[in-house]
This record gives sequence, structure tokens and C-alpha cells, in this order.
Amino acid sequence: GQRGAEPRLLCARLEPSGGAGAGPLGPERRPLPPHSGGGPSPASERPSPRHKASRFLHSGGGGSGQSEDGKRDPESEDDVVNITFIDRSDRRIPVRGKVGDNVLYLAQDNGIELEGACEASLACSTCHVYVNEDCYDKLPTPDEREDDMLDMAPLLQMTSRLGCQIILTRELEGMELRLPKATRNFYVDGHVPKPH
Amino acid sequence: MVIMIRYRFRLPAFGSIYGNRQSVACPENKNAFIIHRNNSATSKIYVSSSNNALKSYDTLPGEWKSKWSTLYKILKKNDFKNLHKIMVNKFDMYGPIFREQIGHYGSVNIIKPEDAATLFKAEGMFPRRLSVLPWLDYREHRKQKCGVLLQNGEEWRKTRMVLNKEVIAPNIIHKFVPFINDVVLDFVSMLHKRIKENSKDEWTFEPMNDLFKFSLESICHVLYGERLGLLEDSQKTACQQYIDSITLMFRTTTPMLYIPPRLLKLINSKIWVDHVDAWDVIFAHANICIEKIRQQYNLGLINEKEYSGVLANLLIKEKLPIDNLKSSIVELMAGGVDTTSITLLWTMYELARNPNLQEKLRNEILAAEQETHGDLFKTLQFVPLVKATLKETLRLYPVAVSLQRYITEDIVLQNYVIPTGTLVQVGLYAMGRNAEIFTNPEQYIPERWLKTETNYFKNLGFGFGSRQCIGRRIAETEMQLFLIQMLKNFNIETSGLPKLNTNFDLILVPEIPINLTLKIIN
Repeated sequence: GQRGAEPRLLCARLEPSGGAGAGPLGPERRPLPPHSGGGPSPASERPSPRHKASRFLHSGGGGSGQSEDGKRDPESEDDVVNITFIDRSDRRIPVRGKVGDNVLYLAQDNGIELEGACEASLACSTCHVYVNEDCYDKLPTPDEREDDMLDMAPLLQMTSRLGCQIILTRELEGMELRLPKATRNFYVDGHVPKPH
Repeated sequence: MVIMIRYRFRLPAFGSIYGNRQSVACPENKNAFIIHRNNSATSKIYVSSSNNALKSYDTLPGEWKSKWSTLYKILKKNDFKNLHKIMVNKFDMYGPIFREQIGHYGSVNIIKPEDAATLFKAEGMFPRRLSVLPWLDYREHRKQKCGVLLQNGEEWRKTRMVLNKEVIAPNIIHKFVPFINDVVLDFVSMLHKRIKENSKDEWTFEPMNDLFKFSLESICHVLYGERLGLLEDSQKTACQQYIDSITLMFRTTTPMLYIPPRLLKLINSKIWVDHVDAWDVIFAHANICIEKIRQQYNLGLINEKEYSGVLANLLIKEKLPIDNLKSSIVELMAGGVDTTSITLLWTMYELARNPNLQEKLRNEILAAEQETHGDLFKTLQFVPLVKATLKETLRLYPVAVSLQRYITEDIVLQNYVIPTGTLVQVGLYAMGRNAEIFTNPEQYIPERWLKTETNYFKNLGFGFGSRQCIGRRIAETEMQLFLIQMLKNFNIETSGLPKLNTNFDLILVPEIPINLTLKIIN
């Protein structure tokens, strides 16, 4: 009854202090990526073409939009998840998301410079973010494909995740996501990562 | 103004092998290089640390001043097959960076993972690999469009984003798992049958060609949702011509990386003629498959609710112009045969030499199946050692012996300033066999990928970033399922094969045929 690869995946990358990441995950947690062949998760699809203005996107994408998913009422208070992005100049940007939102698209919706060069196909590491520790523990353990991509993320830290693999849940209320100071296209002077 | 700090990341907790040799480049800001991006207002490079003075591009070590001497040496010894080993020797001779000029083809070569990380950061929005001239010239010659493999810029990105959703995105993989597993199970049955015919419990064979058939059958099942039937005995020679053409296409590419194909075309050289013939067969066979599915689609015979493969899905979605779609499918099909089958061959060869590892893998597989009650897709998430085994194979026998990018901004590698536009190569074969990067590099130890050593920019068998191998997930799934079923059914043995030599035929191949013995596990 072990949980297979998961604890080691974290260890292989970065030694978590006190087994962070493995412990709090119950088996009932939503796995990433979705295992079932059921309906597509609306949040994992590229949202509406209004993103076209973004300099990061060069294809219109498609699929049901995060905000256009008619099944849910985006303004229902129950579904609201408030999170904060901390950008490369330490600016705090509060963002009102909702349950099921994909963090990469939510960031881009709000003009935050998170690249996502493969458009959430888990084929690059350009949407790398640091998650505040409390919420990091609440996230489903990254699967080995995400870990493989994180091995190629500049400025890797213990709480590194790919934004495109974080789907908002109510428990993530108050989550803080910090953008690394040197991803591929945005280099900022002066950042020193803390070794763990 | 956007500026960049050059930075080497190291995880001190794990005593990285770099730890002994080099310190973190910027423990504090004062030791860091701070350079301005090339496309910012100024492109000057500032050095904030005097003990790390930057050096100019023209002082790079290596034999690059004469365009022809290196090429002449290679031609004289007909040494194209050893280019990966020549690269290793050059790293030994010049250190972790050298510049090279072979004919018209100039490059800067690097070996260290942290330098690969720096390179990756400069690949830009539209990463470009080395332009493979013979492939481009063939398409021009036959007026064929380039697909995702050979496109660049905006066009590439548009195609790539559409294809990503169909072949690499996490939520599509589970759809092709059963397609591939069908082929794997047929392959295993075929072997059982042959062993039975041999009227013993074991059978010795040269698996290369069977593996080619297995890979071709797998990729076609995923792409077209249909079986070619290559693993049925009556079909033995049906697609042999296609398989041989792919091998020939790769082999004839290597010399033309350095000798301009147009020149060879002009003199009607055998290399060029063979290359054209090979591509002709590849395009013709792929076209037959593609047209069949297109016809079914046009006649409304494809059930849109049921997954029937990559091509059908792409036709339904209508996101790519048809010529672009066709060319990309041709490339996916051609790229999915030798690459996976040779990696599987190397893996079986290494497993045959490591019976204990086979047993360990078998135990992991059986435990995983018990845990997941045989759910195939879930089982794949409980076999870390199987996955590590494939990473280990690609470390020692990388399909691509180097990764290349044309850099989109000035970068600093090993203190040398490399100007925008330079072709920089990561020597993947050399990296995998370097004792400063991997402990006991000559030994096949998959467990190294599970241990606490950091894998930062070391697991590069499929490349990196948004232009990494687009077939990665198909290949990984195919190889994982193959190993799972093979190890459940057979012991893989060898009669004391020596360490095998490798040849560079654009992809890395064994120099001589590998014979293996399969024994049925009761």
C-alpha cells in the first residue's frame, strides 16, 4: 500500500524538510493530470481568445473558457478563490480566481508575465512559480512528468511548481505565488535563491 | 530595462559532484555577472566582478580558425560515424567549452548541465535547432511542405501548439495507452509463438528488425488508430521497405550535414540519390495511411465521440491547414521508429547484462499492478524504476548525441561571451559519459535517477523547453509499456556480449547486431 513514486520524486529534486508534499495528500485528492477519460476539465483548456492580446500567445487556442464555462456562476462567492501573485519586482497582485481555474491562464488573464511557452501541455518549464509553503503542502504531489520539467526550471526551489499544473480549489484561498526572478524572458538583477 | 543575472544553481544538500569543483557563481550579488539583454536599450555587457573577467568569443579554445581542416580530417578518415566520440575527445582536450568550424558549419560546444540551463534561457520564443539541410533540400526538391520538425518562427509555434494538445498534453496520454498496449501484447504473443516453434523454453534472436516493426506498428496505431498488422507472420515484408528507408534516410543525412547537399545533387552523388529515394518511400507510405484516414473522415465514417487516433482528432478539429498537417504526420511517423526501437534495444542489452536489475524491475512492476488492480494507466505511475531505466539508457545512448539552439541573445558560457545568433550545442553523449557530471558514468545504474542527486539539466534525452521532442509522451509510454510486458514474460539474457561500440548515423546506433536470448518466465 505505498504511494509509489511520489515521495521519492520530491526527494529526487529537492529534499523536503519534514517530508513536505507527501504527507498531507489523501488518496481521494484530485490527481494531476486527470486520470479518468471523463469530460475535459474546463480549467485545463485554453480560455477565450481575449488572451490574444497577450504577447505570450501566438495561437488563438480554443476550448471552453475559464470564465465562459457556463455551468458555474463565476460570481458565486462559494467558488471564489483569492490568491496573490508576487511579480518579479516584488509587487503583490491580488487576483480573484475561482474553483477549477488554471493558475497559468489566471495569471495571463490578469496581465501577469507568466510565459507558458507550451500552453499547459507539460512540455516546458516556463510557467514556473514558487508556492507559499502552506499551500504547497495542499497541492497534489507533482507527477513525474511535472518533476521532469521542473528539473529544467531555472532557479528551482523546494516549493517550485509549474503554474499550468495548479488548479484552484477552495483550500487554496490565500495562496501566494511568486514568480522566479529569472525565467527565460524576464531577467531581473539581484536575486539570490536560498539553498535548502 | 531588463537585465539578467547569470547564475549557477546547485543544491548543496546533495553534494553535487560539481560541489567539489566549483562554487556557486553568485552566492552574493557582488560576484555575479550582470549582463544586459541584447534586445534591451544597450547591449553592453557589464562585469561586476574582477576575478571573473569575461572573455571574448574569439578567444574560445578549439580548432575553428580554419574552416576546412577539421572537415578534411573527418573526410580523410571517413569518420562521420565517430562524430560523437570526436566530440568527447575535444571536451577532454579543450575543457567544458570549445568552438568548432566544420566546413560552413560553426558551433560552440558545451557539456555542463548549468551551461545547458543558460543556453535554454536564451532559446527565445521560437527555438531553433540546427537546420538539417538535406531534409530541407529534399522538400524543396520535391515541393513538399515542411511540418513541425522543420518549420521555424511563428509558423512553427502555431503548428506546435496545435500538435502539443494531441500528442504531448497530459490529458491526451491516457487515450493512446490502450492503443500502444495492444501492440505490446501482440509483440509478446509473437515472441511466445516463436519460442514455442523453437520447441524450447528459450530463443536467441537479433531483435533489431522486430523492434523496428514494433515501433512502426505502435506509432501508426497512435497516429491513425489502425493496425498495420506488421507483427503477423504473413505480413513479414509488408513495410520492410519503409523501415529500411528510415534507416537509410538517417544514415545518408550525416555526411550531408557537412557537405552541402546541393553540391552532391549537382554531381548526382549516390548519397543524395539514396537520400531522395529514402524520403520518397517515407512520404509515399505515410501518404497512403493519411489518405485512408482522410477519406474515412470525408465520408463521415469517423465517430467524433470515440478517440480514433491523432490524425483523426486533428482532422476533426480543423486547426491546421491540410498540407501542414500531412507533413507533420509524415515527420511524426518517421521520427517514431528508429528512435524508440534502438532505445529499447540498448535497454534490453543492458538488462541482459544486469539480471539483478531485471528482478528488481519485475518486482516493482508486479507490486504496481497489485496496487492498481491492473489499471494500466495507473500502473504507469507506480513504476519509477522502469522510468529511471529508460532515462539511464538515454544517458549512455542518447538518440540525439547533441542538442542545438541558435541563441537569441548574448549569453555567457564558462566566462566566454557568446554572441546572439550563434549555434550552441550541448554534447549530450559526452555529458552522459562524463565522470564529473555522473558518478561511475560507464556503469548502467538506473537507480541514480531515483536518488537524491539533483537532476538539474541532466535528463535531456528528449531535449528541453517548448521545442523538445514532440513525440516524447508517445515514446515514453511505448517504451514503458514494452518493458513492463517484456519483463513480466521473459528473462532477457546474453551470451557474454562485450561492451558494444556505437555509431553515429545521425541517431546513435549499435555498431554490430546485438543478439539476445529470451527465456519464458513460468
